[in-house]
Amino acid sequence: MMDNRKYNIIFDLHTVSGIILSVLLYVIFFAGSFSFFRDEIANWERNQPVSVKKDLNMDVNAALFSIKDSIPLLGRDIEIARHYDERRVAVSLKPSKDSLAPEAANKNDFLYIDSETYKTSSYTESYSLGEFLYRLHFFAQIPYPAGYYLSGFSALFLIFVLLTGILIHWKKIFSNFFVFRPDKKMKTVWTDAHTVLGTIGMPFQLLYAITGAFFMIKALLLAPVVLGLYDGDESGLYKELEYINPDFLYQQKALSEWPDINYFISETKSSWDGFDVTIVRLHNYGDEGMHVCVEGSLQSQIKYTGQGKKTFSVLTGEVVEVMDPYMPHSYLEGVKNALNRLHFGDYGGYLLKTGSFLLGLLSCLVIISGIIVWLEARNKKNIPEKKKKYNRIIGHVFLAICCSLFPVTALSFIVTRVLGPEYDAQRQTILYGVYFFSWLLLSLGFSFKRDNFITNKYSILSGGVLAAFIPITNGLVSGSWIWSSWINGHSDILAIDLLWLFISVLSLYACNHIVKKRKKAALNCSLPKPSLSSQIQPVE
Amino acid sequence: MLFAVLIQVFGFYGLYHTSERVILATGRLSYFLHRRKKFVKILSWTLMVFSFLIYTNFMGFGAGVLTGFILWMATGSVIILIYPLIENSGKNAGQ
Repeated sequence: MMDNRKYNIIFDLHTVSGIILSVLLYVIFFAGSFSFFRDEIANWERNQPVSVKKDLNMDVNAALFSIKDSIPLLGRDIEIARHYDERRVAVSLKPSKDSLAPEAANKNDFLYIDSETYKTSSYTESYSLGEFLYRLHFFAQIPYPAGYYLSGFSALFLIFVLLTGILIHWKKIFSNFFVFRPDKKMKTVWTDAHTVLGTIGMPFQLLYAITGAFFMIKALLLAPVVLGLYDGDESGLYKELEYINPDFLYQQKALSEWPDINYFISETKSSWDGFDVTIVRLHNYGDEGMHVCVEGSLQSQIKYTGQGKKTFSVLTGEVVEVMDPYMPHSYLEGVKNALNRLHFGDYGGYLLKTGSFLLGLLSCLVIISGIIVWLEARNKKNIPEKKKKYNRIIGHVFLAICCSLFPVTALSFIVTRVLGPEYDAQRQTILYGVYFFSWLLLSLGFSFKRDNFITNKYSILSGGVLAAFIPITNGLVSGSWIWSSWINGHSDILAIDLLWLFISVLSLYACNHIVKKRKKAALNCSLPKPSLSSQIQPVE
Repeated sequence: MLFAVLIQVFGFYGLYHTSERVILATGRLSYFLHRRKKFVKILSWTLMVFSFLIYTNFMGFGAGVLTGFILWMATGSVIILIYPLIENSGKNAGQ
């Protein structure tokens, strides 16, 4: 049984940490929700539907042949990876180990190769809105490492917020499990929404808080271990955690002919049923010490974390290392793979993506309702007017920043779709400008307006209208209308169009609902004096 | 798979009606579900378990169970939010 003092401590911990983190967490959850569709967004804006998922479905020999004239390959460690379900495959090259290598080979290189046309492009030229939103959800736009640490610590403290929230609500957790009363006064509506959605969605939020903190600040949290056990040598720790790939001896003798990489890939694929290759690592390319490491995983319906790999010596054709995906893995491998899969939600197709997307947006609603409940709790007679005003300003600003994200994101979808491939090199700059400038402008506008009803109504309305134009713009620009995507089986393009259509209908319905409710409240003359709670209206 | 989601929705909808504190619709189905709580609870949990069996059958055990939980949370949240709103607008329309 918790006494009053403990309850108050936990309650204050929940409210204070919650309100401080609210905007950061809102951005993380909002952008994170769209990040479940990161690959679909990228394919949608390029109008490049992808039929094969989670497999390096590419002629690697042809890809290497297409770049060998522009990029020297001899003696380099090359990684060809399909991290995302896109046509473009990432190629990273390390400096050559060959002492006679040209200057151009003595540096790190990164490029994308189109798996169908073998056209190369740089990271900037391949930038997409999907990538932008994905990176926004861990504040990667803030220079490294500040953004990473900010998002990581937000995730870490979210764990405290969630646990304290559950402790506060513990007594009523079962009795109020289903209780949401929209016909009651606004304070009750928001409190109900906060507690009920917070309780049901808690496992989801906790899962993302833990995995998010792991991804973002593991290096920082492990710093004392690095100092104590590895004498400050970070690479030692990473090597033990198997984040660093093995190094093979460079022989300084070129192979007589170019190796057939496709052979090693098909050899690995045929070793295990349901195995998808995602990464191919070529160590010491073109040298007698060359090794090919083919890595991938079993399809999730066969095994949840079935990572596997085979490493071949090119000279002898021998297999020098095998990690059988069907065999039990080490604890380390299991944890790393499970955390990855849990966070990225890539094991359940569109059904899981949609469910996670919904839960992400509902988490945003938990945050917004939390801000409003916080504001309401401080709108009491015994609180000085100066403090009340300060609290109201905080509420206005926080809500303005959060709510304006919706129309800004919708606008960015339209802008990126209108921009043709000729703008690929400038796309990142344009997206940064459009997104951050319009976000700032709207946030400032709503903040100065100081009316939560206006903020909510116009952010939902403008977002809803812009959302309706997203599939229309896509149809006009590319000819990929919803029905043609359906007929042609372009599921990734269809998913984005339908997602925005759904969001649009829902937003316009919500806007209509809050306007009606506002009118009804205005007509109700029995209300003695409009309180703060009457100014606050439901948001998306 | 959509069938499993549908079953899950029905399961949660049934459990929702067994709660003492929710405002229920005046329709026959709501009345029926609310009056036969024990039966509805058993039926709802059976539907829930059945939906999880479908998920695990199609997606494998790990992926199926996790997908089932995520979708359970998502559909449950949506039902709790939407049901009273629709119920209220229905009542208001009748006034």
